[in-house]
Amino acid sequence: MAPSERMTCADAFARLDAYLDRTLTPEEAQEVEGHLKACSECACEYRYEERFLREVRAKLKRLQAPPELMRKIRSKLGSMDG
Amino acid sequence: MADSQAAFEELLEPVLGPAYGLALSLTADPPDAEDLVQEAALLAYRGFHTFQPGTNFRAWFMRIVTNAHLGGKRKEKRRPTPVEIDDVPDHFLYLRSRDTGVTGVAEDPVEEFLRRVDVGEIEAAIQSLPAEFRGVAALYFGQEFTYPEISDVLGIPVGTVRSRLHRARKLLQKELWDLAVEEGVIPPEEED
Repeated sequence: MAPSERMTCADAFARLDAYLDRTLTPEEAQEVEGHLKACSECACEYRYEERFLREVRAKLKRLQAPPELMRKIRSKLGSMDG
Repeated sequence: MADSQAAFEELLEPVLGPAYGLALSLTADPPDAEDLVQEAALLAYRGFHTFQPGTNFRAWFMRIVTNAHLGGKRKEKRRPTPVEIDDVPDHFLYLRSRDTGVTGVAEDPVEEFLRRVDVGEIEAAIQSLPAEFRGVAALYFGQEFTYPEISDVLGIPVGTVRSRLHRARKLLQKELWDLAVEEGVIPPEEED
Protein backbone atom coordinates (compact mmCIF):
# COMPACT_ATOMS: atom_id res chain seq x y z
CA MET A 1 0.00 0.00 0.00
CA ALA A 2 1.26 3.42 -0.82
CA PRO A 3 1.77 5.35 2.39
CA SER A 4 0.34 8.82 2.71
CA GLU A 5 2.49 11.47 4.33
CA ARG A 6 0.09 12.10 7.17
CA MET A 7 -2.20 9.14 7.50
CA THR A 8 -1.70 5.39 7.47
CA CYS A 9 -4.01 2.93 5.71
CA ALA A 10 -5.27 1.74 9.11
CA ASP A 11 -6.12 5.34 10.07
CA ALA A 12 -7.93 5.90 6.79
CA PHE A 13 -9.70 2.55 7.08
CA ALA A 14 -11.03 3.49 10.51
CA ARG A 15 -12.38 6.78 9.18
CA LEU A 16 -13.90 5.69 5.89
CA ASP A 17 -17.48 5.42 7.17
CA ALA A 18 -17.30 8.84 8.79
CA TYR A 19 -15.74 10.27 5.63
CA LEU A 20 -18.50 8.71 3.56
CA ASP A 21 -21.13 10.24 5.85
CA ARG A 22 -19.36 13.61 5.92
CA THR A 23 -19.15 13.61 9.68
CA LEU A 24 -15.41 14.29 9.95
CA THR A 25 -14.00 17.70 10.75
CA PRO A 26 -12.78 19.56 7.65
CA GLU A 27 -9.17 18.86 8.71
CA GLU A 28 -9.78 15.13 9.15
CA ALA A 29 -11.69 14.94 5.88
CA GLN A 30 -8.80 16.63 4.13
CA GLU A 31 -6.36 14.10 5.57
CA VAL A 32 -8.50 11.16 4.44
CA GLU A 33 -8.89 12.75 1.03
CA GLY A 34 -5.13 13.16 0.78
CA HIS A 35 -4.63 9.53 1.70
CA LEU A 36 -7.20 8.35 -0.86
CA LYS A 37 -5.39 10.28 -3.55
CA ALA A 38 -2.09 8.66 -2.63
CA CYS A 39 -3.27 5.10 -1.93
CA SER A 40 -4.99 3.24 -4.73
CA GLU A 41 -6.10 0.34 -2.55
CA CYS A 42 -7.83 2.55 0.02
CA ALA A 43 -9.34 4.57 -2.83
CA CYS A 44 -10.69 1.34 -4.32
CA GLU A 45 -12.19 0.40 -0.98
CA TYR A 46 -13.76 3.83 -0.58
CA ARG A 47 -15.36 3.61 -4.01
CA TYR A 48 -16.71 0.19 -3.12
CA GLU A 49 -18.30 1.41 0.13
CA GLU A 50 -19.66 4.53 -1.52
CA ARG A 51 -21.18 2.49 -4.32
CA PHE A 52 -22.67 -0.02 -1.89
CA LEU A 53 -24.38 2.76 0.07
CA ARG A 54 -25.70 4.42 -3.07
CA GLU A 55 -27.05 1.18 -4.53
CA VAL A 56 -28.72 0.04 -1.31
CA ARG A 57 -30.40 3.42 -0.92
CA ALA A 58 -31.54 3.44 -4.54
CA LYS A 59 -33.08 0.00 -4.14
CA LEU A 60 -34.86 0.90 -0.91
CA LYS A 61 -36.34 3.98 -2.57
CA ARG A 62 -38.34 1.69 -4.83
CA LEU A 63 -40.30 0.39 -1.88
CA GLN A 64 -43.91 1.53 -2.18
CA ALA A 65 -46.69 1.61 0.38
CA PRO A 66 -49.60 -0.71 -0.47
CA PRO A 67 -51.92 1.18 -2.85
CA GLU A 68 -54.88 0.96 -0.46
CA LEU A 69 -53.05 2.41 2.52
CA MET A 70 -53.68 6.10 1.79
CA ARG A 71 -57.33 5.39 1.10
CA LYS A 72 -57.71 3.55 4.42
CA ILE A 73 -56.03 6.40 6.29
CA ARG A 74 -58.17 8.99 4.53
CA SER A 75 -61.29 7.11 5.48
CA LYS A 76 -60.24 6.84 9.15
CA LEU A 77 -59.37 10.53 9.29
CA GLY A 78 -62.78 11.33 7.85
CA SER A 79 -64.54 9.30 10.51
CA MET A 80 -62.52 11.04 13.25
CA ASP A 81 -63.94 14.36 12.14
CA GLY A 82 -67.48 13.14 12.29
CA MET B 1 -61.55 20.58 10.09
CA ALA B 2 -61.86 19.55 6.43
CA ASP B 3 -59.18 22.11 5.52
CA SER B 4 -56.94 20.74 8.22
CA GLN B 5 -57.45 17.19 6.98
CA ALA B 6 -56.66 18.22 3.42
CA ALA B 7 -53.50 20.00 4.57
CA PHE B 8 -52.46 16.97 6.60
CA GLU B 9 -53.08 14.54 3.75
CA GLU B 10 -51.13 16.70 1.36
CA LEU B 11 -48.09 16.42 3.61
CA LEU B 12 -48.66 12.77 4.45
CA GLU B 13 -49.08 11.30 1.00
CA PRO B 14 -45.50 11.89 -0.26
CA VAL B 15 -43.99 10.36 2.88
CA LEU B 16 -46.26 7.34 3.01
CA GLY B 17 -43.88 5.10 1.01
CA PRO B 18 -40.86 5.95 3.18
CA ALA B 19 -42.98 5.61 6.34
CA TYR B 20 -44.14 2.19 5.23
CA GLY B 21 -40.52 1.22 4.55
CA LEU B 22 -39.55 2.29 8.06
CA ALA B 23 -42.54 0.46 9.56
CA LEU B 24 -41.65 -2.67 7.61
CA SER B 25 -38.09 -2.56 8.90
CA LEU B 26 -39.34 -2.12 12.46
CA THR B 27 -42.08 -4.76 12.42
CA ALA B 28 -40.77 -7.23 9.81
CA ASP B 29 -44.36 -7.96 8.84
CA PRO B 30 -46.34 -6.25 6.04
CA PRO B 31 -49.77 -6.24 7.76
CA ASP B 32 -48.20 -5.00 11.02
CA ALA B 33 -46.36 -2.32 9.06
CA GLU B 34 -49.62 -1.15 7.53
CA ASP B 35 -51.29 -1.06 10.94
CA LEU B 36 -48.38 0.86 12.38
CA VAL B 37 -48.49 3.52 9.65
CA GLN B 38 -52.24 3.88 10.04
CA GLU B 39 -51.92 4.25 13.80
CA ALA B 40 -49.12 6.79 13.37
CA ALA B 41 -51.20 8.73 10.84
CA LEU B 42 -54.10 9.00 13.28
CA LEU B 43 -51.78 10.06 16.10
CA ALA B 44 -50.10 12.59 13.82
CA TYR B 45 -53.42 14.02 12.74
CA ARG B 46 -54.52 14.40 16.37
CA GLY B 47 -51.31 16.26 17.10
CA PHE B 48 -51.19 18.12 13.80
CA HIS B 49 -51.82 21.44 15.56
CA THR B 50 -48.37 21.02 17.21
CA PHE B 51 -46.61 20.62 13.86
CA GLN B 52 -44.91 23.83 12.80
CA PRO B 53 -45.55 24.57 9.11
CA GLY B 54 -42.33 24.87 7.14
CA THR B 55 -40.44 22.42 9.36
CA ASN B 56 -39.56 18.87 8.37
CA PHE B 57 -42.84 16.94 8.22
CA ARG B 58 -41.11 13.74 7.16
CA ALA B 59 -38.84 13.70 10.23
CA TRP B 60 -41.80 14.64 12.44
CA PHE B 61 -43.92 11.80 11.06
CA MET B 62 -41.07 9.24 11.22
CA ARG B 63 -40.65 10.09 14.90
CA ILE B 64 -44.34 9.35 15.43
CA VAL B 65 -44.03 6.04 13.56
CA THR B 66 -41.04 5.09 15.71
CA ASN B 67 -42.73 6.10 18.96
CA ALA B 68 -45.92 4.29 18.01
CA HIS B 69 -43.85 1.19 17.39
CA LEU B 70 -42.01 1.48 20.69
CA GLY B 71 -45.21 2.20 22.60
CA GLY B 72 -47.25 -0.45 20.82
CA LYS B 73 -47.91 -3.94 22.00
CA ARG B 74 -47.01 -5.61 18.73
CA LYS B 75 -45.32 -8.92 19.12
CA GLU B 76 -41.87 -9.12 17.64
CA LYS B 77 -41.78 -11.53 14.75
CA ARG B 78 -39.18 -14.18 15.28
CA ARG B 79 -35.96 -13.32 13.57
CA PRO B 80 -32.98 -15.50 12.86
CA THR B 81 -30.36 -15.33 15.57
CA PRO B 82 -27.95 -12.64 14.48
CA VAL B 83 -24.27 -13.34 14.15
CA GLU B 84 -21.91 -12.03 16.81
CA ILE B 85 -21.06 -8.50 15.79
CA ASP B 86 -17.48 -8.75 17.02
CA ASP B 87 -16.91 -11.61 14.58
CA VAL B 88 -17.65 -9.35 11.62
CA PRO B 89 -14.78 -7.12 10.44
CA ASP B 90 -15.27 -3.53 9.31
CA HIS B 91 -15.90 -3.09 5.59
CA PHE B 92 -16.87 -6.74 5.43
CA LEU B 93 -18.11 -6.81 1.86
CA TYR B 94 -15.08 -5.12 0.42
CA LEU B 95 -12.65 -7.40 2.26
CA ARG B 96 -14.57 -10.54 1.32
CA SER B 97 -14.92 -9.44 -2.29
CA ARG B 98 -11.23 -8.70 -2.48
CA ASP B 99 -10.09 -11.83 -0.67
CA THR B 100 -12.27 -14.14 -2.72
CA GLY B 101 -11.29 -12.52 -5.97
CA VAL B 102 -14.73 -11.08 -6.79
CA THR B 103 -13.29 -7.62 -7.26
CA GLY B 104 -10.93 -8.98 -9.86
CA VAL B 105 -13.63 -10.79 -11.81
CA ALA B 106 -16.35 -8.21 -12.32
CA GLU B 107 -15.64 -4.79 -13.72
CA ASP B 108 -17.95 -3.29 -11.15
CA PRO B 109 -18.18 -5.77 -8.25
CA VAL B 110 -20.76 -3.82 -6.23
CA GLU B 111 -23.06 -3.51 -9.18
CA GLU B 112 -22.60 -7.18 -9.95
CA PHE B 113 -23.28 -8.03 -6.33
CA LEU B 114 -26.34 -5.83 -5.91
CA ARG B 115 -27.75 -6.48 -9.36
CA ARG B 116 -29.07 -9.84 -8.17
CA VAL B 117 -30.19 -8.62 -4.74
CA ASP B 118 -33.63 -7.06 -4.81
CA VAL B 119 -35.28 -4.55 -2.50
CA GLY B 120 -37.12 -7.29 -0.59
CA GLU B 121 -33.85 -9.00 0.24
CA ILE B 122 -32.27 -5.77 1.43
CA GLU B 123 -35.37 -5.11 3.55
CA ALA B 124 -35.14 -8.65 4.94
CA ALA B 125 -31.48 -8.09 5.82
CA ILE B 126 -32.40 -4.90 7.73
CA GLN B 127 -35.25 -6.69 9.45
CA SER B 128 -32.87 -9.42 10.60
CA LEU B 129 -30.75 -6.92 12.52
CA PRO B 130 -31.13 -6.79 16.32
CA ALA B 131 -33.84 -4.31 17.37
CA GLU B 132 -31.46 -1.59 18.57
CA PHE B 133 -29.79 -1.41 15.15
CA ARG B 134 -32.87 -1.77 12.99
CA GLY B 135 -34.31 1.72 13.44
CA VAL B 136 -30.95 3.36 12.87
CA ALA B 137 -30.31 1.29 9.73
CA ALA B 138 -33.82 1.90 8.36
CA LEU B 139 -33.52 5.66 8.83
CA TYR B 140 -29.99 5.82 7.45
CA PHE B 141 -30.31 3.54 4.45
CA GLY B 142 -34.01 3.87 3.73
CA GLN B 143 -34.64 7.51 4.59
CA GLU B 144 -31.15 8.95 4.02
CA PHE B 145 -31.41 10.77 7.33
CA THR B 146 -28.32 12.43 8.77
CA TYR B 147 -26.94 11.42 12.18
CA PRO B 148 -28.58 14.42 13.92
CA GLU B 149 -31.92 13.64 12.24
CA ILE B 150 -31.72 9.99 13.34
CA SER B 151 -30.77 11.15 16.82
CA ASP B 152 -33.82 13.41 16.88
CA VAL B 153 -36.23 10.78 15.57
CA LEU B 154 -35.05 7.99 17.89
CA GLY B 155 -34.29 10.20 20.88
CA ILE B 156 -30.74 8.89 21.29
CA PRO B 157 -27.42 10.79 21.30
CA VAL B 158 -25.57 11.30 18.01
CA GLY B 159 -22.66 9.23 19.38
CA THR B 160 -25.03 6.31 19.92
CA VAL B 161 -26.34 6.72 16.37
CA ARG B 162 -22.77 6.56 15.11
CA SER B 163 -21.83 3.43 17.05
CA ARG B 164 -25.08 1.61 16.27
CA LEU B 165 -24.79 2.49 12.62
CA HIS B 166 -21.21 1.25 12.52
CA ARG B 167 -22.36 -2.13 13.80
CA ALA B 168 -25.52 -2.17 11.69
CA ARG B 169 -23.46 -1.57 8.56
CA LYS B 170 -21.19 -4.51 9.31
CA LEU B 171 -24.09 -6.83 10.05
CA LEU B 172 -26.00 -5.75 6.98
CA GLN B 173 -23.00 -6.41 4.76
CA LYS B 174 -22.55 -9.83 6.36
CA GLU B 175 -26.24 -10.69 5.84
CA LEU B 176 -26.11 -9.61 2.20
CA TRP B 177 -22.91 -11.52 1.57
CA ASP B 178 -24.40 -14.70 3.05
CA LEU B 179 -27.46 -14.15 0.90
CA ALA B 180 -25.34 -13.73 -2.23
CA VAL B 181 -23.46 -16.95 -1.44
CA GLU B 182 -26.74 -18.75 -0.71
CA GLU B 183 -28.15 -17.67 -4.06
CA GLY B 184 -24.99 -18.51 -5.97
CA VAL B 185 -24.17 -14.90 -6.92
CA ILE B 186 -20.84 -15.45 -5.23
CA PRO B 187 -19.15 -18.86 -4.98
CA PRO B 188 -18.77 -20.23 -1.44
CA GLU B 189 -15.35 -19.98 0.09
CA GLU B 190 -13.24 -23.11 -0.17
CA GLU B 191 -12.32 -24.85 3.06
CA ASP B 192 -8.58 -25.21 3.59
